[in-house]
Amino acid sequence: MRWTQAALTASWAIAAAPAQASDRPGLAEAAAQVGVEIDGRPASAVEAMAELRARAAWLYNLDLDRGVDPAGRSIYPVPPASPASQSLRHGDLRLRTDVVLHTPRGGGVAVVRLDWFDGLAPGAAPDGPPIAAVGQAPPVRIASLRRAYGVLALPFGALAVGRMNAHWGLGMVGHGGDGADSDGGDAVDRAALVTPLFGHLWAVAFDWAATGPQAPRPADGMPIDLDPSDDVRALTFAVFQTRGAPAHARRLRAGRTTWEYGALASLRWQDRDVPATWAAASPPDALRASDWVARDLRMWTGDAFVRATGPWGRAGVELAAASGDIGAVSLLPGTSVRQPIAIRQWGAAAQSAFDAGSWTLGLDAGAASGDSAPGVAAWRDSTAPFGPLGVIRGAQVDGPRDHLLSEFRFNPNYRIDRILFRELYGAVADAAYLRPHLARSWTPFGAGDLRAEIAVLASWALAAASAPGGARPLGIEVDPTLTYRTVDGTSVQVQHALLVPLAGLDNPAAGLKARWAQLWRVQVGWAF
Amino acid sequence: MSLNRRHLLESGAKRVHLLVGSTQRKFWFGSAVVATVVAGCVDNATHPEVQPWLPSAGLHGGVACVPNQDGAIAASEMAPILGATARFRIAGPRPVDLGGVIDANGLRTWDWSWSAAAEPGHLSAVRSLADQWYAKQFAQAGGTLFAAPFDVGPEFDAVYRHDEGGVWLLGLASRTEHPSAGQTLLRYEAPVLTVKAPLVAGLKWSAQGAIKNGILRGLPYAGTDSYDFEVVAAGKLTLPDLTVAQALQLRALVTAQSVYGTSAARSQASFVAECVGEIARATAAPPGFPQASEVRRLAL
Repeated sequence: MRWTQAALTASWAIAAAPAQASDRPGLAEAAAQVGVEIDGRPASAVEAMAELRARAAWLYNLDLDRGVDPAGRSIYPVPPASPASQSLRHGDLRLRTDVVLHTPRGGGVAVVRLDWFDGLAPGAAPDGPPIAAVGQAPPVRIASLRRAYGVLALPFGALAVGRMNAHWGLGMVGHGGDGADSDGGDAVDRAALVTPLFGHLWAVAFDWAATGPQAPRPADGMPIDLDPSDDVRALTFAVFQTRGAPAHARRLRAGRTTWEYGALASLRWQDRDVPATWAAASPPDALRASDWVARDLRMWTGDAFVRATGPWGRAGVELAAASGDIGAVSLLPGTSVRQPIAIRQWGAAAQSAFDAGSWTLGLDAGAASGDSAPGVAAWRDSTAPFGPLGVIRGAQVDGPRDHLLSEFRFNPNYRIDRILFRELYGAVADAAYLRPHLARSWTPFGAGDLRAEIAVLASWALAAASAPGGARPLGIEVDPTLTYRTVDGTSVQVQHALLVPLAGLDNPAAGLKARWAQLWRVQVGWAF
Repeated sequence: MSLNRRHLLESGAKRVHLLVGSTQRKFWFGSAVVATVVAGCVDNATHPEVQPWLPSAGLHGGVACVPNQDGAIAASEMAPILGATARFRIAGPRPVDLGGVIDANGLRTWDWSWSAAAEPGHLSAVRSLADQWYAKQFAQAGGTLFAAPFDVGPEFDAVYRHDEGGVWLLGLASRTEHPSAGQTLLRYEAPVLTVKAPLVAGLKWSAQGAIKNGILRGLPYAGTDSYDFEVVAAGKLTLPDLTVAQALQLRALVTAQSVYGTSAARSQASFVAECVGEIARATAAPPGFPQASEVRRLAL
């Protein structure tokens, strides 16, 4: 379902270096997407890039003062020991590094991305009793491996293998997390072959989304996949036409519009599952054959996008749909649910921004399918039950009464706002939105440029029963932003958000109307 | 309207302006920004007593028990999940097949999958004893004490204890302290073992529960309940929504003898499974099965 645009473009570029002489995707353009030069003999065998990010946020009344839902939960944490308080705070630090290794003649590239101390919260790990702490204990996890893959040129195309960026199109489904305010990002374990044909890139990829329980090999302790029948795999075919940043810049200087587009079809499947290894409250002492249960997953996904960029601005559209079945849904060995789950989902997103001098005006829109199942999927709790009307999170199927899984969920890093979908819903799901935005830039501004932007988001649930308030209008959110970016690669950004909730976020069962919430965030960045 | 000049955007009484950079130009943001500054002093109007967000609240509970399908139901596979609710479909009088059929693989199967569309649903919740009005009457050390509906009616709760020996019945109580029909509080002098651990096919046991100084619907009651249990078979049970590969059929014959000379008998056939508990039950009055007076089946 997700794809690796940058990696595959890089792969293609290795195999099709002569194409760079034309205006088609070429080596230099593709290489720029991963920040490397693979046009013949590289200038350096090793390249390194890094970004340091520090954020601090103040969140006010994100529970909307709407009380608890019928399941007894507030929709957002509130200070447990300060009943009158409305404020929560957040801060974190992250260093992201990309290291690119070249083979001597430029025919192969390896990329490793590490996020160092990702999510490190200030003061969260005092090195002693809080009252006496003078420092911080080192984080338990120093670094998170985000990407590690290699690309090599073959006579008939390029082969990419490893854990690689899974960005595709506008990022509605697969988002690599490359944005300054993005968290994590999609990376898949994949083997992909890309070849040029008829002026396009044609690709086939095989993904290992999950391989189930592993065991150490007797000889050397290296892991071995115990049973291939429990693997979740995906096979994807794609055709696309994209360009790297240098080509964009060149065409922009020439006053030309650049069109990019792509389409993919993907099949994801799993025959059996071992829920004891991932759904049990405590891991079992040992696995038995009976722990393998039937799953019978088959899901088809299609996605297409088109994007245009020119001196007038930019515009893009992405459409996606998924269809399939989960033949066996039980998590308990020995107990099978007779009714399979049907998957029917669709999502669409559109973006536009039109430049007029220093002003930019645009309209974004999108929709993600859903139905009347209460709330949206509990994305961090896969065993959450189907909730009663009025909950904001819960299972989206309910045995024989509702066996249609129709909720489409945008990628969480496809961010269109700062409170409603980012914090409360987790992502755009079961909803539609319109987002006009206006920006003004001042260039140069001191040693860089300054940009002020304001966006207004109006959103609706697709089905009234799915909204916690039982009505379709969800809210109006105003998101102003001020960004100062220097030519030296440093930046300061101040974000604000004001959510004015509408009837869809009220709590009619408790007779409470949702009250507005706001957020301030300051983000400082360094690019090296 | 240019942002290079001063813009006045009012919403309420306050305004905000930002001085940015060496140009000293002033930027006025919209009413939303103004409103945010006004906002900071409103107290939280709805502070919940319990927050599932707290680390100890078990937001990511997961599946508490995973069946090992070894043919025996261990005590750990009988543990109640307090707060869990199960949905049953309730059928009225009808014949039931307790013998099942032996398939080509030698496996006994019971087909109880007749349509439940016309059968009313019943939610049965397992609740902590500590939260019930009769908790002090049944308080005892050890094990997990819990209450569950005695039958599909709203009147009675059965009180149980779960420990390494299995599931014990401690007695019966009216769900509310002062029901219109009169209070009920029947406590066994010694708990009755109703599900013995480990439960395997062929297991038999008997038990007696003596009640002294009890109250039944507001009237004094004393008597003795005699129980005979037997796990008569193991096999696969098919229900309308579920199929359970390893179910044990537990038969119980209960005879209640009051000190006033009245007696009543009831037969019960339950299907139980690892980690799930009771998945189906048929109850019959004399002369007993195959005609059941009530059948309940676990549903989704």
